[in-house]
Amino acid sequence: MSHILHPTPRNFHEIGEPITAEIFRFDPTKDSQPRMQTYVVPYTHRMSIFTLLREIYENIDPTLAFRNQQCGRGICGTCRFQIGVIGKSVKSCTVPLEPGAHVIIMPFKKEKVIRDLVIEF
Amino acid sequence: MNFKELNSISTDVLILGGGGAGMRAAIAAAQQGVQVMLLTKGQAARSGATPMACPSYQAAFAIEDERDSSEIAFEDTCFEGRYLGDENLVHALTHESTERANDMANYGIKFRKKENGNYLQVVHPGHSFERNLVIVGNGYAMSAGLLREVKKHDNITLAEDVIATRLLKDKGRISGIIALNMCEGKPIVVQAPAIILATGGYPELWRWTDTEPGLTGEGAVLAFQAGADLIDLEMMLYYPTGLCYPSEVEGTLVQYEGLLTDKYCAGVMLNGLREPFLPHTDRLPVRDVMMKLMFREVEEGRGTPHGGVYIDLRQSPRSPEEIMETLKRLDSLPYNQLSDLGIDILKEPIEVQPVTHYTLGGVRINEWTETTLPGLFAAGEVSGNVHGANRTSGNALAETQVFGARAGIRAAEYSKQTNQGKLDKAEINEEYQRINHFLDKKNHPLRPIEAKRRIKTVMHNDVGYQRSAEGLKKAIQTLQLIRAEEIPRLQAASNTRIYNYEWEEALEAAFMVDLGEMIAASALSREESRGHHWRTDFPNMRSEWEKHTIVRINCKHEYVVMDAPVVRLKDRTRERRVADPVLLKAGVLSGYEK
Repeated sequence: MSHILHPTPRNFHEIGEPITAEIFRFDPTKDSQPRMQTYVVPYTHRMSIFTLLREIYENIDPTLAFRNQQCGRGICGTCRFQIGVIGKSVKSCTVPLEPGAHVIIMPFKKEKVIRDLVIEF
Repeated sequence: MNFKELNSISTDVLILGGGGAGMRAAIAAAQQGVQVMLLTKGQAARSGATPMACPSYQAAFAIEDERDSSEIAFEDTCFEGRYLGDENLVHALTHESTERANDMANYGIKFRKKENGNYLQVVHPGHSFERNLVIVGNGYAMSAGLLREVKKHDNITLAEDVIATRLLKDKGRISGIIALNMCEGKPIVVQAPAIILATGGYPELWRWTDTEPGLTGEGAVLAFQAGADLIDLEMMLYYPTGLCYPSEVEGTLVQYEGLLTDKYCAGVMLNGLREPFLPHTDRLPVRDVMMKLMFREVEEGRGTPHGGVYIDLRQSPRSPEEIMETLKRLDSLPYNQLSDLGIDILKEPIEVQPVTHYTLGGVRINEWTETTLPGLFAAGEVSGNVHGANRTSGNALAETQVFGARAGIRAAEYSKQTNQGKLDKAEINEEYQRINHFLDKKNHPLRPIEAKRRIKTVMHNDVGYQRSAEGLKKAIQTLQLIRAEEIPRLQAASNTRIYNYEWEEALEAAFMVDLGEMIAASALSREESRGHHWRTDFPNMRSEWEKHTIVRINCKHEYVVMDAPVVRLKDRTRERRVADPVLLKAGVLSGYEK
């Protein structure tokens, strides 16, 4: 699947409460230690956690790193992250987000981080 | 960074692409005792087309029906390819896929078996008999199995997250590549006398695709720039049934063969008015016919709310339990993900539309996967003359194994007879500058994703499933404009060098615009409709066009479009199948009567 969500620029029509996402950020060439960044993402279409990240990359913050080269159908596993504070790992393209949800996204394995959410599997 | 700082690596056989063909080639080359390096654009066995592939592997074992044979598979493949596939390649494919399946089994890749212990073989459109094996765990398990085998060979070096950006030559033959190492954030040079392209196709140039987004086609452009012939670029296969709703699963492939065949799930395909529209044939139509029938419903105003048609399993005579059992056995649908996302295909119809799926055209090869450039080989989807104008189910994974193995063997032999070529420092410095340029600040910067959107829109609108001279000429002009005015402005928002995806997208966009123009030019030159190439201004298949389009670079570094005859093993003026009269009557096969 092509991951480009909006093939042409379009009017954003919110269909629900925005999603709040706290996301792990770390660039080894710039940061001395990891930090969490909060994004408020308009709910303009049904979203999985993975399409939420695409929405951020496309429209809010192009510097956020995760593996975009991903299958989008729950197979390849390169969108696997630790979600929430309980440390449960999921393939993020298979997890739907309700409008108004608050989600914490951490790398699948912190010790393997290359940048932000990108790890070596 | 300049050439002095780089640590130039060298190897005997260098393979670009870590899908089915690349990994099989690595194994075959390693068995010849040479040093092998395997570069993958993403993570090995988790990126590219193979891990996302359906479980189908075509191999005429004739277990389910003893009337089947490699010879019948050969005839099926030639006919369904609309007689455009080179028959020496089709012969290799159909006669060696069984042996390569046995190799896979030896690597620990499992095929679905029947209770008596024999391989299960299923019948898909275009197969005269039950012929497809079903890989347990789909393409993902196949990739994982191949990777395990690759890792058993000490003479294979695997490097992940590396994107090739240029092929290097010395006196008319291959000498190495330049690539961007994404995780270290720097360009590298690899010296090798033999290179195997196994980079996959370019379905990502279009708006709707079921493939992984890394399939942007740089393999074909790299080969072209180095001087190898490209072939039948206009042939992009549309898979009939990708989900078009909801947005989070857009483009997800569901296997119509399993969902609609009476013997399996026995679902029905309906238009937006909930009417059946497929002609009454003994077998489901193959992909080029399906996509035309489906698009016709949408165009004539009988589409679903999201522009597709429905698959309705509620009207199947089978019980929901039987359907689920069949789905799990045949892996016809990503049911786990759909159910996780709250979509119950047994309770509601799904909306599907044809999506770009597999690149029929690509790099021109001979039966030993040699391109027209010494030292350069190509195997798998990146090659362009195996299937013709349409491809039957199961022949893509079979192709990866048959031609991957052939490429590995031949490239290893070639590397033993050939010294390393020289590397041109000026050329390397120039390419480093081009790569690094995408991080430099521009006066009017443009995000790479914007250029990709523009290119994909042009391809969708004017080089899509239907083409005309008018639209194709417009597409060529627009793509030239994008190359001249937008590619130089591409700039990644962040200048970080470590895993900067916008940097990768900028490189991809530059390849995509070049490739898009060559596809449009090839499509413009083919003045007929054949298989997946559908010209509104030339709606008939024409016998004088039973030949390849060839794209070649000239001395001014421009492309020229030529043609070349199809390689024949049989006299097709005499030995030729005719199309199903029911399909001819449905009006989507003009010119197929003869």
